[in-house]
Amino acid sequence: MIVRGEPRLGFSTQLIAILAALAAVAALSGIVRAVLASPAEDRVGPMEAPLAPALVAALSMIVLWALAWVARAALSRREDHYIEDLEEAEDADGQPPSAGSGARR
Amino acid sequence: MSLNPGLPLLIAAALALVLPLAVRRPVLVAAALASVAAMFAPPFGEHDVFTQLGIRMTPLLLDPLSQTLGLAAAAAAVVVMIAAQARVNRSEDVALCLQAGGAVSAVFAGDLLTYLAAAAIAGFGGIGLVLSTPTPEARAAAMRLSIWQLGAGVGLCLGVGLLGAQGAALPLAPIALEGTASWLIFLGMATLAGGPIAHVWFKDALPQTSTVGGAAMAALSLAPGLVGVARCFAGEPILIGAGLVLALGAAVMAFADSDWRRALAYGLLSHAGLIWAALGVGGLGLAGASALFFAQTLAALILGLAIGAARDLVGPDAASGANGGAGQRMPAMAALATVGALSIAACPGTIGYGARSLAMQSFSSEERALFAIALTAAGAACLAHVGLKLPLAVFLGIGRRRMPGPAPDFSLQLAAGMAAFFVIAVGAAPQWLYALLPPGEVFHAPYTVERIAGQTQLLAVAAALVLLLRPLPLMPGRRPTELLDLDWLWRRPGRRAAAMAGGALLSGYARWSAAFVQWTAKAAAWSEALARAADRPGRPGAIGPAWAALAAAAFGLGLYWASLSG
Repeated sequence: MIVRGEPRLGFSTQLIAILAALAAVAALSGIVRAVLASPAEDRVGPMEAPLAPALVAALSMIVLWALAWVARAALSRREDHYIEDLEEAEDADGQPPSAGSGARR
Repeated sequence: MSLNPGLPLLIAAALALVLPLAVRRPVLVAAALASVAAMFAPPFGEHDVFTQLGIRMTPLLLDPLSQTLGLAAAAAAVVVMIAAQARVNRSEDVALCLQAGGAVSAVFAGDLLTYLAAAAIAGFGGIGLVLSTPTPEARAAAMRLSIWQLGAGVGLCLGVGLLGAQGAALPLAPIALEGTASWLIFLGMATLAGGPIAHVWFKDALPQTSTVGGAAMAALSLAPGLVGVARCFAGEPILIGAGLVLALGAAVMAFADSDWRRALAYGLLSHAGLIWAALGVGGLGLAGASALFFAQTLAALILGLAIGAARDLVGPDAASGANGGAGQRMPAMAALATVGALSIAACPGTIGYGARSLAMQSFSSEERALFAIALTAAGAACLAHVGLKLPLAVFLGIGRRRMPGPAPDFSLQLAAGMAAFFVIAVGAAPQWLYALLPPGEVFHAPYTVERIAGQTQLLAVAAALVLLLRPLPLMPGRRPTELLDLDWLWRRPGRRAAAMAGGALLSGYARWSAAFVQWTAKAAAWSEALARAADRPGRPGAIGPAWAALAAAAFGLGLYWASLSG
């Protein structure tokens, strides 16, 4: 006999709900910053705009994501990048590693 | 009677060598508690000053800076010693005590020589922590770490020696960054503090340690360097640039790397970049940097313990990529790790928020507006890599991984829980921390509507973008891979170039030695022929008597000339 529990929200629904909540929080904080009469001392230069933190966060996330992709494309470790790994592999069986055997941990 | 608060931990290191397990465990915790108590006993000022070989030594300097950083380091030692109850490893116990004792001693050192000795002890402890993991990779990482520590120590020694030779006193006090001596000291301290380029030792060593050793290394290994930079070079503009490079560069690597503990190491380095930048401002920046150090120490402890426990759970080979699913087997640790991650991300309600707010206040001038924006971006990046991506990767997921390891011990959870308590308690009432900060009591109000709104907006947008990107297959760090860092330059092409240079030198030496042998053989044959020719002048085949007399006269004249000129 199959017992069905409470219906659960799907992953997409949960994600959309969380994103909507975060967007609402960001918008609300922007409104609060816009109506404040006496901004804090550390709101300087371009950071005075009500949505400046959101803009900085969005730009930094996009740049971070792009740079992380470049880093992974350019810097992913291949078989013989660290020479001591090859030497350790040689030490293990007295023979140099065959092609494709790898020295990955 | 006053003593350096690091001393109880160093004594415990010696005792841990011989004490049986049942006694050793309480001794470790008692030593860490004694370390905390020792820093509140004497009043502010220099203590136990003496002169050794004409040099004024100050083993204990109590002031707001040393008390703030020392309290963080000693509290970390307490948490680590409680966590150490979870396993049996005598050598690692000794290394823990050495590293914690050295770090705390360095924080309270009042002169450069005491600081140098304490930093070296902490370095030995760090190497011991890595060596406590019995794998070839850990041994190799320990050797590389020892080279970095040795290099930093040699730089410091040379700088201090040159400074002493110039007749300067050697207090651990502000030094103008000019001349060889001050640059050597700066580079040594910057290496210990994980500065740009030297940061590779931290990301290289941390993943090779055990769970408890990793937490200790994450929380304490940067402390000697940071306190040295704070004491001697606070206010130097170079620190702002170097801090920004470290914060942004390490953030990219933390976001891109898939190995959980290496990503944590990069994330902590990125946060350390914020400390560097705040130190570069000086004044209020020094207070902000101290608060950031306090926050980072507690968060590093929690995250080090939680991610180390998750790695033990899934196995070392599987501790990378997304969908770790460890939260199903260790929900309490996952919740505690979330607290630490939110603190690194400066979420309101945590100590990280109070510290970041104070640090950002130090950049509140128009001429530093660009730095403020860059630091705000680095703060958003902290949320992205350590605050969200890492906990989600480790703890979230449907648990498809095989989890052969044990669930975390109660001691680990208790230790992480204690650190999390301070993160929230001090976060709720940050004035307690502000009252301790250098250069004296600091007045700052982080919980204004304006500041909370700005930080909330920043975090909400950054979190939304990370969550939006995470399900996509394009999200970096989903597939396990190891990224190359700057150390690749000297671990591969540098090493090959050194091998080639060594080969060329050996080849040159072989040729030179062969030529030398030939030349000496020729010289011997020539001198033998000369001796034969000079033997019994006048006989057949020898030189004539006139030539022999001429040579003898020339030799005599030479001797006479030499006696005149001498």
